Amino acid sequence: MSQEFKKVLLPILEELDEHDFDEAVIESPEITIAVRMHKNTLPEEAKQVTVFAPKAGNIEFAATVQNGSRVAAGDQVATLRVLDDKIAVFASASGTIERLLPETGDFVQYGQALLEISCGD
Amino acid sequence: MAGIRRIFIANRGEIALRIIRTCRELGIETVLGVSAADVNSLPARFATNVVVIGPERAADSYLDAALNVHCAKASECDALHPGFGFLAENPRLAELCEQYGIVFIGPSAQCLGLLGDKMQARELAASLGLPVLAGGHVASLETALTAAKKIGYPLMLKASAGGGGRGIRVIDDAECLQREFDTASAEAASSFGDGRLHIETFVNNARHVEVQVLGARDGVVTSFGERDCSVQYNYQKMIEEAPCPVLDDEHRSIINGDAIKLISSQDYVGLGTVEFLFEPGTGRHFFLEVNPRIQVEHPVTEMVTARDLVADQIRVAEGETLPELNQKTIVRGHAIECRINAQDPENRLIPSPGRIDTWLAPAGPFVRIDSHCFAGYLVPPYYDSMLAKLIVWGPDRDTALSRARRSVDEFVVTGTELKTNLPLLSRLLQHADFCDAGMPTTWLGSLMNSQDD
Repeated sequence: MSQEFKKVLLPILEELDEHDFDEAVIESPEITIAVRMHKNTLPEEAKQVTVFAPKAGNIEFAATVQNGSRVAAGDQVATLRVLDDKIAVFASASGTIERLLPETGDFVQYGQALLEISCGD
Repeated sequence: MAGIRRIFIANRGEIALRIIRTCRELGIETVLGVSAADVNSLPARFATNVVVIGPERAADSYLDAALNVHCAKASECDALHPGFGFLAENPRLAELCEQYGIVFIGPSAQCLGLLGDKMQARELAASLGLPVLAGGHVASLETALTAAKKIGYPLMLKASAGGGGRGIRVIDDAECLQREFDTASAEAASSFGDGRLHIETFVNNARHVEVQVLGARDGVVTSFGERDCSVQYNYQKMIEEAPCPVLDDEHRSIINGDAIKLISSQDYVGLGTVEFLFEPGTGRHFFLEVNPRIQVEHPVTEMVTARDLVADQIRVAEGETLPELNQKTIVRGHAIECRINAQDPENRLIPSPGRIDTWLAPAGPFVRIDSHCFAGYLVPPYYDSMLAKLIVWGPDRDTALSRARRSVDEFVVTGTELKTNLPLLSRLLQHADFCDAGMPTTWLGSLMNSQDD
């Protein structure tokens, strides 16, 4: 899946102005790249973004994160617990939380959708 | 201890499939932890369940001990099999398993810590009277130069925390040692997280002979005989066979005995391999290292002993004592394994992954293929380049050899970008040196170098 994704993604990345995105992000979980591209280059189309699990673990949403609550890009929305490690999960766009997909405490796999954000004011 | 019901497999590719196959036969469920690159792999298809643990990069998936143990726990596995490579010899993985109540299918964290450290293992072997190569730990270039003067050149400069043939340099003279020391130390630190080095005499014309052992909870340690893995390039094995064709009964019994002596000195529960160099001219052997895990080349031992070594691993991990192991293992016939790798034989065997268009694996009497590949499979560039292991058995070496030649010549693997070492294997199996079993560990390297000239 990821190979196919990169095949589509890399030619697009090459055409973009390098200031549109942080090149280091290419190595990160792939959805971060996609979201940034939406934000920077396709503002009209990016109506909704999904935040995905950066690895497998048990998810705990932040207390303030509920259906209908507002988040800003970069806000910590959840914590992923892997044994005793805690990994912060951030909102990739500003907007309103539409839907929390798993429940706090659930085990999620890498790349699983965690929440949807309806973009804009 | 209760029987194991569900095993988490913290590995990928051919060995993951190998473990799953035995589990299916034993009625044990499997959960395979995969990276994003392996979601559609063959082992993922045959595992009872699959958990996508992380992204493609091994450091974020297959090499993350806590992540694997967390996923094993979350998927309610009662045991974890680490396979080979990745975290197989990592004491922390074994420790975390113990801490979280999961049976680690392998020796204890303490055994892994001791035997995984090449210097400590060497000292242990020497203390038990096993012959070791001259040499020792070298803390600085100065001590290395002094020690080198004593043992003489050429010598090997090794990363103490290395293994699987990585982190080894052949040093021809003092000048070379001066040139290489700092680089070797820096490389060891970055590759193994431990910059310590040691030196050892370089033995020319030696064979790589390794003994397959199994230790059970009651302290019984059994040998399943030896393998000869002398056909290697850059310390990566390419053809392995069992038994060793140049070992007479006297030396066979000494080397197997030494392996058992070493493993018996520890509280060792699990499968392991004790590696030696054997010098046919003098009949001398030298301890090299212990691989406290299942190895790539385990099938040649399975073929000549009629044992399922993965099943044995699971049984001893369950605490079984295997009464039949008190009897001497009978080795029947001869087995040869060829590793088929995505490597360019015309270009110093550099990895050349890509999509497999045609995959026609050989079959026929006494031919076994252990592989996770198929037509249409995309060999991911992130991991090692092994595509398949071709294993053949014959009542004697010559029969096994002609069967290996026939099978390699039947094997068709093509892809636009993909290259394999099959043409090289075909040449090696016909080479007079190999047919006469006269190939030291330096054989393939010199063949490859002369081809370049």
